[in-house]
Amino acid sequence: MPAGSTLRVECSADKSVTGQVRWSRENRVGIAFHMPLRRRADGSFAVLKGQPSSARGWWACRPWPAL
Amino acid sequence: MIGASVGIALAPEHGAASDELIRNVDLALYAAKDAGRRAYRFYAEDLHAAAEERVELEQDLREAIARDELELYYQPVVYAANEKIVGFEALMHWNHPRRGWISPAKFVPIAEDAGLIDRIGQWAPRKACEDLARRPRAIRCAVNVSALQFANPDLPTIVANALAHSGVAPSRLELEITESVLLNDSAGTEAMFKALKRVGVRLALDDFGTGDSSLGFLNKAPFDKIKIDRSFVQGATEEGSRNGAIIASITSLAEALNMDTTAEGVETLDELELVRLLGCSHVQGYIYFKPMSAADATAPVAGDLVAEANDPQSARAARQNLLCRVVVVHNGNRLNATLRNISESGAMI
Repeated sequence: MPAGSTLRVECSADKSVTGQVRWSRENRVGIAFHMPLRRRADGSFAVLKGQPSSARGWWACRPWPAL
Repeated sequence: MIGASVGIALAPEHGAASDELIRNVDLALYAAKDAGRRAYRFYAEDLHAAAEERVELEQDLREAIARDELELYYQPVVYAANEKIVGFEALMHWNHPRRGWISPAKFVPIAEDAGLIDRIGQWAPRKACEDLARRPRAIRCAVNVSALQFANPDLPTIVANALAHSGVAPSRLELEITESVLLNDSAGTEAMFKALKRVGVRLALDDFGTGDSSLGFLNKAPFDKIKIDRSFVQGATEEGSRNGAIIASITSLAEALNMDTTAEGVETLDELELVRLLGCSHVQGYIYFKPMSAADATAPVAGDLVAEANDPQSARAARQNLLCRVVVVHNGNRLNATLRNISESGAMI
C-alpha cells in the first residue's frame, strides 16, 4: 500500500474508521486516522464527532490479549 | 581522494598590504574548516571575533586537558529485539567553566589543528576501558576515532594498552570510524584495519551514507556494524520521506554482510517502530536515553538491562497493543488483517 493512500478499517459491519497510509513494509502498514479517536476508560476507542457517518459509534476493539 | 578547504580574501577590499591579506585569508580558511571542511569561505569582518574565540578556546582546551577536565558521557545502545541495553557509545564532554557545555563537534577540530588530538585520542579509549571494566561483562562500549587518529600508526598500540591497563576483553570495545577515513583507500588504511582486528576490537562504520562512501569499502573493511546516521532516521516517518527505503537498503546490505546495524538519533515512538520494522538490530537515541555521566550510566545496566522507550517529544499518542481481527478496504479490495496496536491518532495493522 503506497504511503499517502487512503484506506478504511472495518472492525465490524457498522464500525469503521478511515485513515491514511504513513508507511508500509512487507505485511504491515502504519496509518494515521483522518479524525482522532477517543480512548474510553475500559480501553476501547470511540470515534469523535465529525468522522464519516459510517464510522460513528463505539469502536469495540478491546485489548485481546495485550502483546 | 584529496579534499580542500579554501579561504578567499580580495584586494583591495579585504586588505591593501600583503601581510593584511594573508592574515585575513587565513581567517577565511579557518572559517571554511569550521564549516565542516571541503568548503570555501570569503573573508568577513566578523571572522576576527571568531578567530579570537578560537584562540581562547584552544588555550582553554590545553588547560582542560592538563587539569583532566574532559569527561566521557555515555549513551546506551539498545538491542532492538528485546530492548536490552547491550552497550554504550562514549561521547566526549567538555563543561567549560564560563561557556558551559561545548560540543565535541566544536572542540575536536580545534584539538586537531592545535596538535592536541593525540593526547585526547590516548585518553578517551583508556578512560572508556576503565569505566567499562566496572560494568557487566555483557556490556560493550564504543569510542569514536577521528580521521587524524586513524592515521596515527600508534593507534593499535594505544588501544591495546588501554585494554591491557583495564583488563577489558578486546571484543567489548568498539571503535567507531567515520567513512571519511576510507576516502584514502591506501595500503596504510588496510594495514590499520588488520592491525586493529589483530588487537581484537570491533569496528563500526559511523555516519554511513552521509559522505562519499563507496560500497566497495564495505567489502574490504572488516566492519562489525554499520551506524545509520540520524539524518536518515529523523523524518523517516513523515509523509513522502524516502528515508525508510534508504534505511531498509542499509539493513539489508548489513545483514547480507553479517554486520549489525544501529539506528542513531531515534527520538519518537514512530521512528522506533519504523527502524525496528526495517530490521535495525540496535537503537540509540533519546527515545531510550540521553547521554549520561559515567556514574549515572551504572544504574541502567545494574539490573535486568531492559530499556523502556520514553517518548515525551512525540506528537503521536501512546499506543495500546492488541490483537483484533479487522477488514481493511483499500482501492476497493477487502483484506483480512490484524490490528496490532492503536492510539487516538493512528494504528499499525
